[in-house]
Amino acid sequence: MDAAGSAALGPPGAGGTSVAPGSHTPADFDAFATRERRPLVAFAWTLTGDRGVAEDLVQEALEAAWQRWGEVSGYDRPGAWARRVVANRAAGRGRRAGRERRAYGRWLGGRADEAEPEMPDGHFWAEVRKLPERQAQAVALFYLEDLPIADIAVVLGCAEGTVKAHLHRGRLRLAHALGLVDAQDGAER
Amino acid sequence: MSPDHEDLDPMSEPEIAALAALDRRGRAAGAALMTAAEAPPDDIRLVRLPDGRAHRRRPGRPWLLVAAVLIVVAAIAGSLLARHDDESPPVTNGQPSYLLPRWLPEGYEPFLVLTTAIAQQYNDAPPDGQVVVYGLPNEADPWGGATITVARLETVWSQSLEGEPVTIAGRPGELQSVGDVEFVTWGVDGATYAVVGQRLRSELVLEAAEAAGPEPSLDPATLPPGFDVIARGPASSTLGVPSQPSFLAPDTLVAYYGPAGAGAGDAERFIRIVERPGDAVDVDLARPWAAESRTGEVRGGHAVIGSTQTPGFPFERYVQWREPSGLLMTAVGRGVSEDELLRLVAELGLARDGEIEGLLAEHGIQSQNAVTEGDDSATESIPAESIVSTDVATGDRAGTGWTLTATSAESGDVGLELHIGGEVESLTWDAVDGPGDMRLSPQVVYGQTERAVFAASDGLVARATIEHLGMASPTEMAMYPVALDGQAFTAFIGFVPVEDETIITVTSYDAAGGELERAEIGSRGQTQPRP
Repeated sequence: MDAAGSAALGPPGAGGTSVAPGSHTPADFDAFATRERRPLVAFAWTLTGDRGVAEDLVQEALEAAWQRWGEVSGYDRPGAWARRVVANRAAGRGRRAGRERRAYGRWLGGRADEAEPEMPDGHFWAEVRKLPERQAQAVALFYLEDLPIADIAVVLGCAEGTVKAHLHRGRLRLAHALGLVDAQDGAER
Repeated sequence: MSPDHEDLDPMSEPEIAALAALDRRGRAAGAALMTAAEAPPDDIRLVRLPDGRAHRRRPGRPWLLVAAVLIVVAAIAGSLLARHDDESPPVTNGQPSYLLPRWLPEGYEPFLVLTTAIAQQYNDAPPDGQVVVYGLPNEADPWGGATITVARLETVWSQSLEGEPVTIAGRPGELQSVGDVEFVTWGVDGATYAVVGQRLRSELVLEAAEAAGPEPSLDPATLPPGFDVIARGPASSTLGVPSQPSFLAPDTLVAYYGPAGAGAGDAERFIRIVERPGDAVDVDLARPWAAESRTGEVRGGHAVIGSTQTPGFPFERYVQWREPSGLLMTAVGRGVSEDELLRLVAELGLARDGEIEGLLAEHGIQSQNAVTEGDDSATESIPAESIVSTDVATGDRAGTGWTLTATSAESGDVGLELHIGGEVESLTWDAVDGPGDMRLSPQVVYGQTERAVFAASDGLVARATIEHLGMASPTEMAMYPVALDGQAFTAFIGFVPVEDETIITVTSYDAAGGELERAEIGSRGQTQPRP
């Protein structure tokens, strides 16, 4: 992806943008953070399986966005930038942090257990997380925000063909893992 | 646009149908998760900081506030009577004579075991503190009436946002009520203070808190007539109060048991057993915080049997007693009957040689981490002994030695690690991440002005370069062929001088010299990938 690609950053599926490119006032950032927080948390939640860890990741992403708001706000789609930050930081971090926090929290008193809300359709997302990392990211974006291939490619920073490969293989794996493919026909790919 | 890649992998009809079903389920799951991700309006607030940083104010650690109260209340009882130091706990093989369950509810198994030593490895370990208890010392049962306690805990005060904001001696604090207990907490110079009143009005508790001294102490003039110090002691002596163990005494063992397979995921059903050296008078520590309690007898000795109904916590039953060996024992159960809890207590048995160590090895926090650090799931964790490795290359950059190591696990996964400047970065060989088929590391920061990136390719990439915007021209990444465990790939490593945070671009080329793809890598920990 060339440098000009930065202008394309931003999720078209995120409800459009009310922030004019290049404007970088605190109010703009507030609007950006308010609009993007929920999909970012959902995305991070799918990748980590832990709501608390997801919120921490999103916080870090928003903090990074604020630090560079003058630059990030110039992108057409600053939300895509934030999603990529979340994806990068979530890699290899979610499961350990979440399990450790819950285990330690339980020892401390159990309140941390109750603080972790149940993940809707947790089994589905657990299987997503078992996919190779990039496949999981692509699949999460595809189902969570219904992003087109081109926009997932922008978020993940790779070619559309690569996204299609990730989605194709990831979804096939997922279908097998969830028992949606007849075992007689289910040759792994 | 269809996400399917028919030209890559032709699909069978059942697979096409399965993917259609999967897409329906996936979109429904996505919609549900998006809804669930909506936080309560007051839960999270974004606050911009003057230096350009933003942070979210999350609710403080609820356990801290509750723990503060618990230890205070427990300390009241624990310190009330004179200690009997003539019954030192016998020590066998360097540890107290711990007990372990010989009977558990059907389907229960151990899932987490902790000791003081393990907990102290965590920076977040609860701190110790001091408590002083005031009451009517001449009453036959000082616990039967009102008491007020002040505690100083060696930890930074954290607001739970669950109470009423108040000001104590000009500092922000928080007042909460739980049943007939009123408690206020606030922070002073890195320490947390708590004043807990039982069966006292909140106005009196606040007035007492205003006059609290740093020792800690309360001013008797602010207390009800006749109140005086009735007990004082370390907060760690209160570990094991019914709601939860919060502060560790030396030589404490905490063991959790729950339904098989639930692990730490079932917060509604488990049994916790806490064992630590303690005095006979500590048994009654379990009473003040209880929703209801009674004295009784278990294992031939005095016991407190009760339950807790702390707001925000599930209902818990508990039994606390002291073993003749000198161990203060607390058994707490969620989702179990009193009969079950009492049967478990009655059938505790002395731990056999190596039994504690075995539990720690299998259910300690470290062992849980080892599992979660596995490839893709806990069930696919890789035993350490199954991993083989080989050094791919070594070198020295800017005075810092480095080693690139390939690893192969029994599962067939091959990984690559960079050891540099005392740090280890790794990447796993389970996915393509571009450019080309390269799997890239993040920026590896190992010095003040140098950063490294390493990668692996299974053959598509014939050469690669690394650069950042401040460089006049890209630098070739060094290449090393790797053959390990029947797999062959090429490892790459490149170094760039970086004076400030920046983006590093990696460009891959095929064997014909054609550019395959570029990828940009943000600095680890400070972010910003950008195309």
